[in-house]
Amino acid sequence: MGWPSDGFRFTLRSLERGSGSWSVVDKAVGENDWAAIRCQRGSTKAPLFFNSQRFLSTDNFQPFSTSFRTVKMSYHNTNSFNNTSSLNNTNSFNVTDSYNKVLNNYTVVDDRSQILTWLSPLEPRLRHRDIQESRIENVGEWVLETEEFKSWYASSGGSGSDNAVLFCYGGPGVGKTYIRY
Amino acid sequence: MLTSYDSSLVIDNLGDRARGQGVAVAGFYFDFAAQEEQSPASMLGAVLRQVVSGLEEVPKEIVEAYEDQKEVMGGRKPRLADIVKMLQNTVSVKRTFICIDALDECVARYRVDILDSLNQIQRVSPGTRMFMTGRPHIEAEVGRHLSGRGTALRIAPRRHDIISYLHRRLDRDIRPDAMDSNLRADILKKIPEDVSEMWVKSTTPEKLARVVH
Repeated sequence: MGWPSDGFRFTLRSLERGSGSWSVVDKAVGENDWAAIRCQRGSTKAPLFFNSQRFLSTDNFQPFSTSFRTVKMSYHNTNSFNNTSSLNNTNSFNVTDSYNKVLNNYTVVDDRSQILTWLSPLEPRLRHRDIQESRIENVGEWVLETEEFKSWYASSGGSGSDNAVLFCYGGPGVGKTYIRY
Repeated sequence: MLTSYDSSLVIDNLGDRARGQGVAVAGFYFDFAAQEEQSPASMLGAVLRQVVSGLEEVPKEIVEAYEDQKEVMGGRKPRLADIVKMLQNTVSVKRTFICIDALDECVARYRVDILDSLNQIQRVSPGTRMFMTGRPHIEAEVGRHLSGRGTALRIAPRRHDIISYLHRRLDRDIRPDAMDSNLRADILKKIPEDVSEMWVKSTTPEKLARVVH
């Protein structure tokens, strides 16, 4: 796999910030197969870290899709490149002993995303996205049309007999996972 | 086979309706393969995280808790009691839907704490709606912890669901020459009548053809 060159355009499907076409504006390749690129969409700049096997998010190093053209990643730090001194200092990319150092040099995480990550390291959105992509149209939609669902949705907890919880259960033999190909 | 599937559908549907309405939707999927890391604090933390990420600003209480723990050497993860308190305060300012998939895949001792915590949250903020899926034996447990505030709905794929699934499966047959329109019609007629969904899920077009002959 080659590294993306300047001007290389790709789609970053950010789970937090929406989709969009990003372009590579800067890059640096470290030893041991590590690299970082700076990419930009509009006025938003973002660092991405990856090795030849996978993309890594900037905040918790979850592995993501290996495809260059459709990068699935959780990405929170739009302010990360405020620290412009490190930007122009390509020496920062020469760190070879661990990616933690690369991370330290390049991730100037804004408080908001640090707080969110502190609340929980789990990323249910990733699983949601996987399942969402494998869904078949029109299957299961009847659930939304049931009286149970409708009244659960419409109720607001004001009345005495409240149905705050809708518990859907599958009978024995109903697998827990969605249909996979 | 369809519960995670239904959960994601419900989450998306609620998300679509919530847009611009000042409503928060948070989803969580339990997974056997991730049982240990899906602790009550991290699970409810993930719910809180989703609600907070939809807010303009992180609530002051959360920012302060975050700043406080930094004082401790090495930092400290939020405790369950802290998360519950923060969730109670956060969902009381915003109507929130919490969707939890496959409760039975949660460690039993965690599940007790999670259901209790959800109950505490629901008591403080009665407008909070919770959608949960799981195997039938969990229903009693859910009922116990969230007493009298639940409705149960059996999820079974409808004939229509199985037919849609078969269509898709047959369209993707890797050996289309072996299939003709009669056989296809037979499959679509017969399979939904008498096979279990588990079987349908694991089958191939060849096996489908064998059943109808």
